[in-house]
Amino acid sequence: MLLIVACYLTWKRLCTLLRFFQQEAYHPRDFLAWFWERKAFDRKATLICLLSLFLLPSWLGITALLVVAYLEPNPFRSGKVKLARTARAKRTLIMSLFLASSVLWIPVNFFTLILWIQSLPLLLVAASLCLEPYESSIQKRYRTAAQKRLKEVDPTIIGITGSYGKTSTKHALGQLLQLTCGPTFWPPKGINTVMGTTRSIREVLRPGFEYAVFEMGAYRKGSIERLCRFTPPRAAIITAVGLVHLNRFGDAEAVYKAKSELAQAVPKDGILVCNGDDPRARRMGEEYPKRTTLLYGLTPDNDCYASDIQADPRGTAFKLHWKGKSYSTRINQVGMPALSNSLAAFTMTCALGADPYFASQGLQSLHGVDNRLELVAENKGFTIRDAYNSNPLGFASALNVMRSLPGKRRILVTPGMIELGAQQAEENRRIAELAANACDLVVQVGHTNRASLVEGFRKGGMRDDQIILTDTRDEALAKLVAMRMPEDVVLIENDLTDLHEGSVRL
Amino acid sequence: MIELAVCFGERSAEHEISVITALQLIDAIDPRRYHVIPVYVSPTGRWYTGDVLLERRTYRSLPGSLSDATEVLVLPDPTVRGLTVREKPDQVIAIDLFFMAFHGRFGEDGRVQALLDLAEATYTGCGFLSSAVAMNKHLAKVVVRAAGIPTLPSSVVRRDVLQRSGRPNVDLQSYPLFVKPLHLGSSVGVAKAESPDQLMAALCQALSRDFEVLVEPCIQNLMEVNVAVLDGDPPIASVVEVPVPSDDVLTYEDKYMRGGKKGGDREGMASLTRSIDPQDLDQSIKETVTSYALRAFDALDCGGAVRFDFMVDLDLNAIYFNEANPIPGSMAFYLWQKSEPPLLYTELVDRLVDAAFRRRRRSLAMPEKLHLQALS
Repeated sequence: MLLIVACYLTWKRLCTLLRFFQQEAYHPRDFLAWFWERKAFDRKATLICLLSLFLLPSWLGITALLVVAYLEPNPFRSGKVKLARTARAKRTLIMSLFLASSVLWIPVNFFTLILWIQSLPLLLVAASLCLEPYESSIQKRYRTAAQKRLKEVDPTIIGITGSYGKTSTKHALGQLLQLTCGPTFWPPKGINTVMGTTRSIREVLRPGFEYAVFEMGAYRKGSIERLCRFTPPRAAIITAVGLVHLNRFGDAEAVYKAKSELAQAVPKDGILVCNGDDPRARRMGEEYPKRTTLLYGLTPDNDCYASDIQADPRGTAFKLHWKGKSYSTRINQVGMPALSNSLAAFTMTCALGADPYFASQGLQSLHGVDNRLELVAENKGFTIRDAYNSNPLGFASALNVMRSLPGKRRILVTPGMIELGAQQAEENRRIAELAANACDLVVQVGHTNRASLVEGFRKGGMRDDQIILTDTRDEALAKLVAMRMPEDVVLIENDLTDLHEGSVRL
Repeated sequence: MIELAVCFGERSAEHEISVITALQLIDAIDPRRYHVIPVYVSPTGRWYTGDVLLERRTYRSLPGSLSDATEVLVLPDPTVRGLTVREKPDQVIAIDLFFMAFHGRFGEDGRVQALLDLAEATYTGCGFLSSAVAMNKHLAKVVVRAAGIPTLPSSVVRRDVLQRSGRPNVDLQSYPLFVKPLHLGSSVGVAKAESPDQLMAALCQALSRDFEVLVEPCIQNLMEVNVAVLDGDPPIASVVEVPVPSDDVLTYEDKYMRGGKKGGDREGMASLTRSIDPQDLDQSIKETVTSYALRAFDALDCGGAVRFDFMVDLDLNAIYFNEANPIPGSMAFYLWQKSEPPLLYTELVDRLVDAAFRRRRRSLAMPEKLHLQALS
C-alpha cells in the first residue's frame, strides 16, 4: 500500500520539480543551485514519514501522504510559468520513471521513503544526464537543418546586441525593413540564443526573405561569437554597453569584450551602427571601423539624431536629422529608450538603402513589444507595463515616463532588479531613492531585494505607511486592484519568474 | 441530423473575432436538426476539431490547449466527404456541410472556399470567386461600379512599387485622404492623411498591415449606413443600421472593444453601440442603400448573408458603396432580428444552410468523362 502511495507522490513531485528544471533550461548546475538557494527540500512528506516511524500508526501515515500528494498543485495548470508539455519534458519524465523503477527492489518503508523523496531532484538531474547524448544529437540535427535553410535563403543578416534595447530594436528594425526594403525575418519576442533562433528559423524562414534580424545575448564570453558563427552578420547594431548581467561577467570591461564579439564578426565592408549616446558603444564603433560606421543619438555629433522632442501619453514626436536633412515624425511609444531604439532602426534601414523619407514616416507605423514600457490607458489613469527584465537605465526611464503623465497618485509595483552581481544591492538602493521622489505609494514584491529597496525608499523620504510589502506578484497585484483609484498612474516594473519569487514549500 | 462543421479562426487579424462569431453561432444552432462539429484553424494555419474548442478558455491558453484537440485536414479529394484525422489518415469525420465563420484573410477571401470546392464539399456563404472579389476593396469597386452603383474614386499603392520608387503615385488631389489595406476588413490598419505631408505616414500605417492599399478621398460630413442581404429566391435585404463611431470613422477598438464589459465576454459587432433601423433616417437613403445592396449582391454573385457598407456624404447628399463583407461579424444577426419579418438567429442559420445546399445544387452533375485522346 505504501508503495502505491509512494509511486503517486513520486509522480507528482517529479512533475513539480520538472517545472523549475524546465525554467532553468534543463541545466543541472543551475537547477541544483536554485534548489539549494531556495531550500526546496521536501518537508511535508518527510515530516509525515518521521512521525509515522515513531508516533503515528501506519495507516494514518499512508493516508496523510496520500493527501499531501493529492493536494500538490498541478504544475501544468498552476504557477507563473506553467510546465509546458514539450517532447523533451515527456522524455525526461519517462526516463526518470525508468530510472526510478530500477530501485523497486529496495524495500519500501517510511525510512527509505524519506531518502527516496529527498533524492528526487537528483533523480531528475540523472535522467536529464542520461538523455543528454540523445538531446544533443536532436539539437545538433535541428541546428544543421537551420543552418542549411539559412544558407539556402541567404538573407542579409543584421545582428543586434547591447545591454538593453535588443528586443525592442530588433522588432523596430524588422518592421521598418519589411515596410521599406523587402521581406524581413526576425525571431519573435526575446529569442536570442542558438536554440531559440534554430527553432524560429525552422518554423518560419522560407526562401524569399531578403533580410534577417537577430538579437544576440551575451550570456558568457564567446556566446555572441558562437551565435555569429551560426548566423554570420553583414551588419550590426550596438545599442548599449552597460551594467547588466554583471553577475555573469564580473566587471564592465568583460561585458564590453563580450559584446564586441559582434562588432568583430561584421566583415570590413559591412555596416556597424552604434549608440553615440553610450560612451562604450561609441568606443566600439571607433575600435572596429567598417566601410560604413554610423552613430545615432540625441546630440548633433551623431550621424542620425533627434531634436525637438515632445512626449505625450500616446507617443513621442520629434525631428529626425540625417545626412543634412530633417524629417518631422513620431513613434507610438514613450520614453527615451524607445526613441533611441527607433533611431537605431532608422539608421540601419537607411544604411541598407531605404529612402530616408519613407523610413522616417514608417516609424509612425511601428508597434512596440509587449511589457517593455508599454503604456495602457485605463481606469481614467495609466498603467505602464514594464514587466520584462529591468535594468537601472530602463527603470529610471520608466520613472521619468511615470512622472510625465497626468494623474492623481503614482504607484510603483516592483521586486527590484536582479542579475547585477556585486552591484545589485547598491543599484536597487539607488533606484529606490529615485523612485521615492517620483511615487506616492510603493508595492514592494518578494524578499530578493527587499532590504536594499526599503532602505532606498526611506532614504528618499518615504514613510513606512507608503511602502507596502508583499511576497508574490499575485499578492501585489491583488493589493493593487484593491487600492487603485481612478486617475492613478501605475508602474509595474520588472516581474520575476517564480524561479526567483515567493517560497517553494514542498 | 445534419453533420455541421462550424469553421473559424485562420491566419487573419480578425482571428479572435471569428472565434466570438463561431461560439455565438454554435449557441444559436438548433441541436435537434444539426450535430455541430467545431473546426478551428489555428493562427499557424493548422486545422483542429474536438469538444474542447467549444470552451472560451481554450482560446486563452493557446497553443498548449490544442493538445487536447484532434488535428484534422481537409483534403482536396472529393471521395473523402469530411475531415481526415491527420495522425490516422484512414479515419474520416463525416461532414454534410461546412458553415463558414471565418473573418478576414484566408477564410473569408475565397481561399478556404476554393479548397472546399476541390473537395466538392458544400459550404455556406459566397463561393470562392465572389468571396475573393468582395474582399478585394479595389476589385469589388470595379465590379460594383460596372453595375451602376456609385463609388468614390480611388488609387492603389503597392508596397514593393513604393520601395522601388520611394514616392507614392497617388493622383487624388483633394485632401483629406483615407488610406486602407486592400485585403483586410474591420478597419485594421486604416489611416487618415489631412494634408500631403501626412500621406506618406498614412501609407506606412496601412502598408505595415498589407502589401497593397487603397487611397480614397475622405468624406468630411460622413454617415455610414450598412445593410445585409440574404441569399434566396429572391434575395432579401435586412433593415439598415447606422453604426455610431467615437471618432470620425469606426476603429477596430470601436467595433470590437467598446461595449464589451470588463471581465465579461466580448460580443464583437453585436455589442457595438449602433442605431438599427433609425426612425430619423431619411427614407430615400434607406431605399437607395437597400436597392444598391441588392444590386451588388447580384453583381458580385454572392451567397449566404453578406453585409454591404455604404458611405453617405451628408453635404452632397451622395451615397457611395464602401465595401462588402462576405461573412459579417456575428453574421449580422442583430440586423435580421430587427427586420420585417424578424429573422431570429436560429432561423437565419437554417436559411443559410438551405441556401448552401441550393447553391451546391446549381453546379452538381455527373462528372465529365475524360477522353485522353491527345495523349494516346
